[in-house]
Amino acid sequence: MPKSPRIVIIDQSPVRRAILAEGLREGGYTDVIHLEGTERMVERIVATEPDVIVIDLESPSRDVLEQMFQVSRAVPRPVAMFVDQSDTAMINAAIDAGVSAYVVDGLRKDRVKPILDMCISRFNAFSRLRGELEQAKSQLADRKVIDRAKGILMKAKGVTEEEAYALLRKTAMNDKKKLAEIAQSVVTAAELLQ
Amino acid sequence: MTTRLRIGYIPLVDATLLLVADKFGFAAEEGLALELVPEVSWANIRDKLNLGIFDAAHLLAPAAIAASLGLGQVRSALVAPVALNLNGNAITISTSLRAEMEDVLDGDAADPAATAAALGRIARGRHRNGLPQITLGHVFPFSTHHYQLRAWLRSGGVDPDQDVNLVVLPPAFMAESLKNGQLEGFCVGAPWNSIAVASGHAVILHLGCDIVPNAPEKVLALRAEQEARNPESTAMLIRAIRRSAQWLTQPEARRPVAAMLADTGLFGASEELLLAILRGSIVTAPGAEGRPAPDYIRLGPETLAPNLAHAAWLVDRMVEAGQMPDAPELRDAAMATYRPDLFASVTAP
Repeated sequence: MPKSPRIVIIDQSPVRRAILAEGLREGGYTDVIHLEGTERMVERIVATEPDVIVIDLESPSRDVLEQMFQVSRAVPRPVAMFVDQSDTAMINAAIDAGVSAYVVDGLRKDRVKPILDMCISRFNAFSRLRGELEQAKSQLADRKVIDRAKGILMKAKGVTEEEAYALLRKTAMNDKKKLAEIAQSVVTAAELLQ
Repeated sequence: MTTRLRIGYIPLVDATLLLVADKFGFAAEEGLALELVPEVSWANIRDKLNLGIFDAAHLLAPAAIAASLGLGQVRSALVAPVALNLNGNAITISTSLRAEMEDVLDGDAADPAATAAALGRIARGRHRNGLPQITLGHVFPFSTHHYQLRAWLRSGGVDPDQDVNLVVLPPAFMAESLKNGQLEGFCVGAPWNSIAVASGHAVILHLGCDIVPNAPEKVLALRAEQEARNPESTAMLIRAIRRSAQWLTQPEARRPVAAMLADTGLFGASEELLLAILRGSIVTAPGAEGRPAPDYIRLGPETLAPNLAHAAWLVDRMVEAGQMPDAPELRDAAMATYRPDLFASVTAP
């Protein structure tokens, strides 16, 4: 079994970094390092002697890595973009997921692909997680405002909770608006009339 | 019918014409709805343009050429039908390096060859004493900033590959890196030199136009195949940019434009600082008065036509920096990126 390639992760999000590192370790890649901060980035990367560098697209340090494409005395092992010209589907999937990677010259292509597949799927999983979290947050906020609107209607019109809810829903349907929007306008109106 | 275009840009003063076209209605009057997307790296802009996530982009002119040649990346033929500006960069150094330079300067401090020679003396002195090399920053391997630094160093007999250490750093980190000693100087675009001077730890040593007059800088870049399929939307965009540039020649347009740029919250600079840059008044040292520099950054309508002499100059710099072999077929492919014909076909009277 060949030695596990050394993978350096540059990602500003600690949560995503952890998800990625865990995925790589589960996949049998035991040599995973992450680099923090922006100081002396190239020097520190060179010092770790990576085979693959994974970087998130929100990191402004990506342009710093581009310098490593240039053959220079600072970089003993030339670095290349992670795929060759023909593999645009792979680049597309990576950019779409928000990740890019650089590969040190000499690493075989068939050894790079599973690493990248793993990174792409973990980045996508993180986006889904973040999306779900935001959705849950906004659902919670919606429920709170709807509850307040129901309370206001119950008090002002002397109706039950079910009747208040039905009134909100009917208005939302008639106005082609979201229930939470109608509820918010009831709350705002009540605040103005206080 | 409205044509939608998604355009990537880096928040820099030379993205102004694109922002003006969007925010002051020039694009809408041409029937365009622009979605301007700020980005954090030139590599992102290049990749997203290549993949069709962006329809067009604000891009370093030499990076557009490098993409067309496939240098260090996937090859993707790009076209540049508009030069978004000329000039705009400056070489800024720490106040402490400036003081060291004072001691060894032989000649006029306004003469780039004299300051570069002084830097060479400092570099050799440090080498003799076993001290670390001078580290200078720029923004991207394929950038006018990189070539201006190299030209300046060579003018004073300094070898940019041996005598100093050139590194890439995001512009937003430059001022901080001068302060903490990671860098001693850099070449970046507006407004980052002025921001560094305002921080009190830096002086602008030379404006880019003092080293290379009328240097090519950013272009509007599109994928060649996409441009060929949608010539009308390119034409609309060229017209919108041109009308924005014409409008901006009026002095009274500059205040609202500076306010608009500052309001994006992306430039790291105040409205007053951005206004001074648009007016061509540049503060080069902490506490100093603004120096009149009408050519510091040129955004006027006369700069917009892509100039083939600029493309040829960039190719020479790329060869000189060892970034591409000097082969006729590569030169032809590089030159084909610049498309003055597209600009002329739209703007001809």
